[in-house]
Amino acid sequence: MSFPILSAIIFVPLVGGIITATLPRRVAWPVALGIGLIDLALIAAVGAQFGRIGGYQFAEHAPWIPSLGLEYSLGVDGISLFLAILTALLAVIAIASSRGEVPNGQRGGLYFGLMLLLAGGIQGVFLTTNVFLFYVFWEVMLVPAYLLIGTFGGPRRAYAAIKFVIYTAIGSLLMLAGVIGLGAVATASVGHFTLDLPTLVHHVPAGAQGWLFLAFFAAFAVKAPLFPFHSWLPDAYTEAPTPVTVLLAGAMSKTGAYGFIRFCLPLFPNAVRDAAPIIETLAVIGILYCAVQALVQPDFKRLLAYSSISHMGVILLGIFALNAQGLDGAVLQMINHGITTGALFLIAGIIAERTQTRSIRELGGLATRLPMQVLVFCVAALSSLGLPGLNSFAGEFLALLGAFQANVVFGVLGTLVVIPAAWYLLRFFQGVMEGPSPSLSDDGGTTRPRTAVARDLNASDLAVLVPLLALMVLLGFFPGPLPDRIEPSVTTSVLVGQHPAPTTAPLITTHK
Amino acid sequence: MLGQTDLWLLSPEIAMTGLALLVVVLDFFVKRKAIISIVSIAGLAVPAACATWIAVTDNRTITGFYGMLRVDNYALFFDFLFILIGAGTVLASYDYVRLYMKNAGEFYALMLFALVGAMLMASTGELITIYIALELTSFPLYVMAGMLRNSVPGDPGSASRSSEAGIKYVLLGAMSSAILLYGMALLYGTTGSTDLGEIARALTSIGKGPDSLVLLLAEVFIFAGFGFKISAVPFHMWAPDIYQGAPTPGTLFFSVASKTAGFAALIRVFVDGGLFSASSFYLWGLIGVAAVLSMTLGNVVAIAQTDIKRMMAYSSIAQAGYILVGFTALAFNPSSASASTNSAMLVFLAVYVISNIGAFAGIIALANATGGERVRDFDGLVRRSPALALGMSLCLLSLAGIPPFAGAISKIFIFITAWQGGGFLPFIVIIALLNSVISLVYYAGVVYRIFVAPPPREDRLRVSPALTAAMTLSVIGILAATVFFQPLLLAGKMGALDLFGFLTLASK
Repeated sequence: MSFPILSAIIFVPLVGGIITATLPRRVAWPVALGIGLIDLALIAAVGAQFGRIGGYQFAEHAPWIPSLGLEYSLGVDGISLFLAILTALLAVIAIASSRGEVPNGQRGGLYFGLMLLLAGGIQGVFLTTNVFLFYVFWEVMLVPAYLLIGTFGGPRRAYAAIKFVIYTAIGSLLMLAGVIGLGAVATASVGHFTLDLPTLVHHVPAGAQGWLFLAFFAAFAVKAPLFPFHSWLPDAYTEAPTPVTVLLAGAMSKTGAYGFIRFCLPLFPNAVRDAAPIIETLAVIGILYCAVQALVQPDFKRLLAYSSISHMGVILLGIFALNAQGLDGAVLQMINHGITTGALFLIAGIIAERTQTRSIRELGGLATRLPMQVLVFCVAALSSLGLPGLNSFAGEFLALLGAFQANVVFGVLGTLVVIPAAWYLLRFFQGVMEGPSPSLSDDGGTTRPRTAVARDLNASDLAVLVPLLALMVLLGFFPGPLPDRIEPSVTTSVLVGQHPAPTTAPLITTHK
Repeated sequence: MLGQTDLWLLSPEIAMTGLALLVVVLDFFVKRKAIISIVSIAGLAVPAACATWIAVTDNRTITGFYGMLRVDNYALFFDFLFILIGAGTVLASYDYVRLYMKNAGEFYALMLFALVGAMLMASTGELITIYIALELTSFPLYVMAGMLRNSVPGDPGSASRSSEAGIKYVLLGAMSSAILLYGMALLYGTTGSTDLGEIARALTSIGKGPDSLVLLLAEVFIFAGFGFKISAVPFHMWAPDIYQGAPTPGTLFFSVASKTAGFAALIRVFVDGGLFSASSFYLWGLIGVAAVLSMTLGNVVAIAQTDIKRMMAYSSIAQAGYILVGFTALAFNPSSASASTNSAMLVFLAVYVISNIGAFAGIIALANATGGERVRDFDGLVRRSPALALGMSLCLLSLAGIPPFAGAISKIFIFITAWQGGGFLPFIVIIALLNSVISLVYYAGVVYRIFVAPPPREDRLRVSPALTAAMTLSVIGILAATVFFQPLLLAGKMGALDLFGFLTLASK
């Protein structure tokens, strides 16, 4: 048996997190960073050997509790590969960026330990191929995320953490009902009780799909988040310390969209087809509503939170187009959204830390003082807008193209709505970087508390941000390698139920 | 003829009785109370060895004393569980008993006698023996509830609350025994036997005739009698007051021993006695209502509690409700296929016992160090004692059913097997799942206080070696049950199969 590399990817951060949690502050940071880097190296090794075919690779199987259908089965395909890489990357960046200070006291070990546990849980969600195990990892994410927000967050952390838990817990318990029901209804068709995902495809009776879909939908819609299940998110993202927000917004929010792709589409094709127009409508409303919300937020971290939801709407629009273009675009956009949102939250965190405020109104004219900051911010903002040549363009374009093909109305609406969705970033950028500095004009130049003390990016900030910027440019010009690997998986394991039963000829041919 | 085999089958109970008597005698002569504790816990190895010896013997006879004793895998599963409870209770109570109670020897001896009764309850197939075993379990518990003669420092009312708890427990316990006995009498009247095998045979031959109203009454009374032991709604009223009033190690013991013994006998009587097969519509409906009420009332009222022991009382009512979901499935679909439901209940009980011992060890540790037993005394525990905070949180999360811990898997196991029963069972399972969300409010609420809330004082709490051991063993137990869930499940399944195998044997 070969080296269980996928298990290592999940359990290096999980076990490492428990160890790190017991370490004192000074040792915890390098140890956590080292563990994060090992994890990144492992998943990179998987990526290097990854074959451009559909189906699961590097699969691992071990019986855990066969009577419950709970098997320890892991596997990676084109959809999960890049999400797992993204998670490992963002974990490293989140840990690296919190070298300076651990919020709220000296429990540094706990802080880094919980971050690793969260990353491990997310990796588990992406890499498992058993529905029950998926649920287990889904809940493994909950506790560290809750404690990270609740212990290390801002002043309203208690409220944000409780809200997060209530929303997520109700969603995931309904999903548990769905998991149990899924196993029960498929027993007759499969012949035994199993929760192995590849086995279950094609075995869910059409009559049961509606309810089961709703149960899974609850969990995924909350996590994604889909309008109107998003209201926990601005509070959680705003109150969480910046590195944690990077992990939440960049990686954890993808688990919801991933759940739709991985489970809902192949398992409940009929129900998904029926529900798609409703979900597409909600996605369009979400894009617009959250963009408008972002326009009026005085707090720029909250602005970014709404912007993040708004962009997730495009991803959901692509997913529920139910065709290859839309799904390719959605998966691609999930990666790009992770990179871009991560960078934006980091930049916002740096600005907030240097100026001691998160209010756009109190800032202005930073551009003249902070040339590096302005450049980095500008690239990240343009990436978020979907400028051709930067990473988000290809994904957003493909997702909207898919939406067009599925339904012209949603395609047009989706595209139109994305345009105003760009305003708020310009507002953020202009408000903070350009124009007069408010403290200058208010105080007649005697005291300049906000902008005067701000320092430009230093080496450690750049060490964290430059990799993300490099990826934005790289993926902007050469997005090719990603869809090459994503597409075979999309056709073989996601859209299986959307077409009549597989024909004799294989749907894809392997690339040379 | 009675012979060596009978004694051999009874050897775990005999060894346990001997140990209890030894502790009583030692209490007269030994000054250092630590020795009594050590003897109590080390002595548990003897009944454990006897039970193991019986378990590893192939092709053994399983009935003794003219069918009164039935030492099958089901009984052995519970025997080991009770020995575990004994060990956990001694470890967790060591400091508390030394600090606040004058009569350590009596406390341990009573606990061991109660365990003898509990083991007998699980390993007999005869109504009168069950009743006697039940009383043998109950009487020591009544005394243990009222044993706190001098108040705990910092809580002047605790001695009088303890006495109140003792009196309440006796009165309510006596009434429930009477109801149980009445049910048994009706059952005897209908079938003409007190042996469960004979009863099952008689019930099959009677069929669902005009007598079924009497039978239903008998079943309801028996359920009510055991319902008191397992603290299921509407027979739960005693639990909060007595949990709160009794000395905390006693509360720990009630919450696990009484419930486990109650379920052991309840399942045995209803399955072995063939009561489900003979029962009419009403029974599973009534049990289903009891299950839903127990879960909902337990979880909702637990949220409002400020005393951690009262909270745990309502939590244990809710946990009984989860097990009753499985019991409802048994009642609804009493074919041998529900052996998996039965094993789910056994496994759930085992995991509940381990988690609850850990949680109470945490409560006792905090109470010993600070004197506080309110929910808000847990504020900021992570800064005062990180290890205790982590262990306590893990046990609470396991009780709440947060994956991946064993508590969650065993709960989901019950729900899966119940769901497969069909009919109205999926709806009960959905109610149970919603209840799990409600239960998060108070379990996660305590975890939240432990990690997030500011501590009242910035000091380091000292946790004694015995409590550390109890907590460590619980945590290891939970983790081991999580990873090696399948073996645990097989053990439960063997027990369950014996029960159902007997049923098919009896009906032939």
